[in-house]
Order: sequence, then structure tokens, then C-alpha cells
Amino acid sequence: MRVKIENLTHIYNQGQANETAALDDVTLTIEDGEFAGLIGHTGSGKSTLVQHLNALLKPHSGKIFIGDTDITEKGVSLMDIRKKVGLVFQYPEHQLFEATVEEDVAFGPKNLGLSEEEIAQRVDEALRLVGLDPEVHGKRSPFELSGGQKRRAAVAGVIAMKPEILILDEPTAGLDPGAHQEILEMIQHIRKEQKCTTLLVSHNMDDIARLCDRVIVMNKGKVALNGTPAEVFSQDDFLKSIGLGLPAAKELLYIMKNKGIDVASRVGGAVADVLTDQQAADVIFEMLQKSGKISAGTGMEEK
Amino acid sequence: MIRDITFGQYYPGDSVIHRLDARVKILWTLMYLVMIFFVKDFIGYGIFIVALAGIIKAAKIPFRYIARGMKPIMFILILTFILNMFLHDGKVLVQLGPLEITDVGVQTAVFIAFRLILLIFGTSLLTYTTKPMQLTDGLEKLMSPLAKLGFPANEVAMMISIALRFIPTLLDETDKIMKAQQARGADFETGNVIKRITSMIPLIIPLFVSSFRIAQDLAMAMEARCYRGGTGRTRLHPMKYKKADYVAYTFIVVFAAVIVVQSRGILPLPMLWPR
Repeated sequence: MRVKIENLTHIYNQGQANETAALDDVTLTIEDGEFAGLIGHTGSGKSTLVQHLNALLKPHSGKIFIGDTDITEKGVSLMDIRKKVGLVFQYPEHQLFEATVEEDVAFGPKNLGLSEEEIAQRVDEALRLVGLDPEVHGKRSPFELSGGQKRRAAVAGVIAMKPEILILDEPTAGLDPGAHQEILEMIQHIRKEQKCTTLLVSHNMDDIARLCDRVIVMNKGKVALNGTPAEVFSQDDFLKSIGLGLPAAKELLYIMKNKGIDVASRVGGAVADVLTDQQAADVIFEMLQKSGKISAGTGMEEK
Repeated sequence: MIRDITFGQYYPGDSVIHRLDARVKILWTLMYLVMIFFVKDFIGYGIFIVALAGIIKAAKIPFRYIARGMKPIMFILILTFILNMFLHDGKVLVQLGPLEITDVGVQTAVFIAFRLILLIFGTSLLTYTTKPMQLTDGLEKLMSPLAKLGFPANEVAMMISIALRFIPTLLDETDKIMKAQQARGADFETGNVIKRITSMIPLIIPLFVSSFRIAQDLAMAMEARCYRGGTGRTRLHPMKYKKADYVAYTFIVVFAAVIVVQSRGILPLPMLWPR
């Protein structure tokens, strides 16, 4: 399902000394089935933006279309919007409250007014999708689970509503590298199974570069950049100037460029596409080869 | 919606009133609370209103912002007004079956309403213009003579400051959890009383868990910085009176004197609709 945002403006503390425009004339579209990434410095308006997408916040002006429905119009059913747009908040495990994981996951479907069998089936399905075993974890208290498992259970609570658009606000914040990787794999798995349009808010540029079809950069409540990861991350100086980082591979090339080794010009091709560590290794190898520092075929066969 | 509560919050600013020593403002508020019960007539209230308007103007807080803080007590205000109208003997103005509105009732109702509004306006100014930390520092300093008698002044001050410090944190937390549950289709706004109370469970349990987590983190952080109670602790910003504070004290004394003289009939001044 397509998300279309037109001239969205949101103002906090209107009429007070500390009035701020959290969103300032934001216009963007996320196509059906797309995996979009949203990045921006803390306070750039990311969280405010995503909270508008399921009508938790009302805009000051502007329109938001979920599919063909303008959700800013009066008389739109909130339940309908929240069924279509699933929003996983930061630290979603803080919302767990039921006695068992099963009951907690069932909270959303229950609010949708589904039948008992439908709820049970959805809970089972959602738990499996996030990689929890309904038999093992379902009957336990959510407070007994490990950090990563708690987060999975909380995500299952949203997945069980079968949203057509899934929004995740920093789903990996505060997790160890193992759990971090698992959560990302879980997201990809859910995407594949449920075919949902996805919006990922993250501070991890590597994740964004690797997973997303498109990257939206927010700065001071405005959309600063919007394009493919290759396009966006080629704006290295600009990203740095608004307090954002680069994927590790890009960062390496950036440091080398500042030290006077411009890999791009030496290889003679565009290095804009370099996003992963492997690609960076390849172009650096190519450069070394061209400069005659190492002979062809050395080392790289072993990779 | 939860952010609409302005009573008890700090309103950031850099006015003369904001810069006053917290002790001055606390003593002013105490004096104000006592003095308002001295008032006998509407000239007395007039003096209060003029003083209050002057302070609000000097503090540069928009009147609308303070008025919004009245919302939560509107119900109590209206209730006391209505009850007072009916509950006093006097000349009957309106007869509603067994109920009578009397002239004394109307007068008392208006009188008490003024008193309540002035109370809320006056006391809320203290928190609007004083940071929680300054407030508790001031309280501690004012209570310090009692510490010699074994009164736990520092502990009490610390408890109050922690409680005040965590009001906005818990409000934020409530807002976040509320949104997270709404995103899962929770409905906090419609339905009958029973349904509304049960709909609070998904909000209250996570909030309860969160407050324990926050309390534990705070205890750990205090421990890590070797907090061992107040004895022997020094301050980053020692409290010192400035010239403006002495001016303010003079104002307080003069104000109190005026109210006493005016309300006790010490001088033969005219009264306006007195009780």
C-alpha cells in the first residue's frame, strides 16, 4: 500500500515561547512494497513524522494518504488506519503488560474485534514470524524473556494486526550485536512473508544501506535528501554537516579521500555504488592493482 | 492531551521573578496563602489582583498559559460555587422547590470563588518561575534550622526534588505507552466508566514497570556518585541573597501590612460588599 505525504507541517507548543516546527512542509511518497529508510539527527522530526502515519498525531496542515484514503480528513476510522499501518515504537518491550506473551500479542487483534479462533491463529502466526515458539514462549510471562525476545514479542503484537504498512522506529536500539542482527533478519523475513511496505527509522547507516531500496534524510523538520542509498550516501560532506554518519565502507573511502587518496578518480569509475565492506575492499584492490602496488591476482582469490 | 496540564510545571524564562531567590518566592507564597484568608471584602481582593497582575507581568508569563492551568480545578470551582449559593441563610432571592438561593449565599459563593482562583493563580506562580532544583534547595535551606532538632530536612528536600523531577518524565512515559497501545488499537477515550477503567490496564502496568526501572536506574546513578545523604555536602550554586531579593522581602512585608490594616479595620477605610 502506498503512503503519500503532502505539505505536512506540525508545530509543537504552539503559541508558547518554545514553539517549534517539528515538521515543516514535508512532501514524500513511499511506493507500494518499497523498503524505505528514514534517517536524521536526533530531533530532526523522524519520530513526529512516523506518528502522523497512523494518526497518533494530527498535523497542523497538510495531507497524508494511506492507499487512497486521506487520513487527515474528519470522519476517518482510526481503527481502520491502525489496522493498515503498524507502528513499532522505540523500545517496544516497554509496552508489554499481559500475564503471558500470547495474551499480549492478542491485544491488538482483540481490539480489532476478531473471533477467538482468528485471534488464536494470528497470535500463533505472528509469534512464529518473529522467531518465537508459541509452545515454548507463548505461555510465559513477557517479563521473563530476554531483551531480544521481549522485543520480538512486542513486534509480534503489531504484526498480529496484519498491517499493510509496517513502520519500525529504531528496532535495534540498545541490543547487543547478535540480537541486532537477528532483529534485522526477522524484519526481512516478515517483509517477505507479509509483503508489507516498510519504513525503517534507524541511526545505523550500514543497516539502512544494506536493507533499504530508498533513503529519506530529515533535517530540522524538512526532507533534506530522498533517493537510492547510493545517491544519498554519495552526499558525504552534506550528511556530515547535518550530524549524520556514513556506512563504514563509505566512511573508509571518505577518510582516504581527505588524506589525498581519491579512490574514485584513481579507479576511474563511479564509487558511488560502494555501500558494503566487500565492495569497498574490491575498489581499493582495483586501485592498488592499477597503481601497480600489487600484481594482478594477488590475495583476492582467497576471499 | 496529557501535556495540557500546566499547573505545577516550570515555565522557562529569564525575568526578574525567575531570577529571585527561591526562598523569597517560597516565603511569599506562604504569606500569600495566609493573607488571602484575612481578606474581608472586595477592596482586599482588588489589592491581591493588582499585586498578582504586577508579578505575572514582571514574570512575563502569558495570562492564557496560567488560565489553562485552571482547567483541572474548574469542576471543584463550579461545585463549590453552586453549593455555597444554596447553603446559606439570608434573604431568599430565588426559590427552587425546597432549595433557596439567598443573598448571603450568592455573596459567599462569589467570595469563595475569588479566593480559590486567587489561590491557584498565586501558588502556581511559584512553580512557573522556579526550577524544581532551586525550589528544593530553597526549601532545604528554609528547613535547615529544624535539622538541628533531628528533622530530616535534606532527605525531605531530596524526596520532593525527585518527585518533582520525575513528573515530566512520567508524563512523557505515559504519553509514549499510550501511543504504543493506541497503535495496537487501544481506545482510551470512549465507552462507559467500567470499560474506561479496564482500558487503563494496558497503560498502568507498563507505567508501573517503567517507574520501577527508572527508580532503580536513579538509585544506581546516585550510588555511583557516592550519595550518602546531606551531611557535609557542598553546593555548586550556594544560595545568596541579592539586592533584588531584599527589595522583594520589603514588598512582602509592605503587602502583608496593607492587607492586615485594610481587612482588620484598623483604619476607618471604606469596605466594598464585606462579609
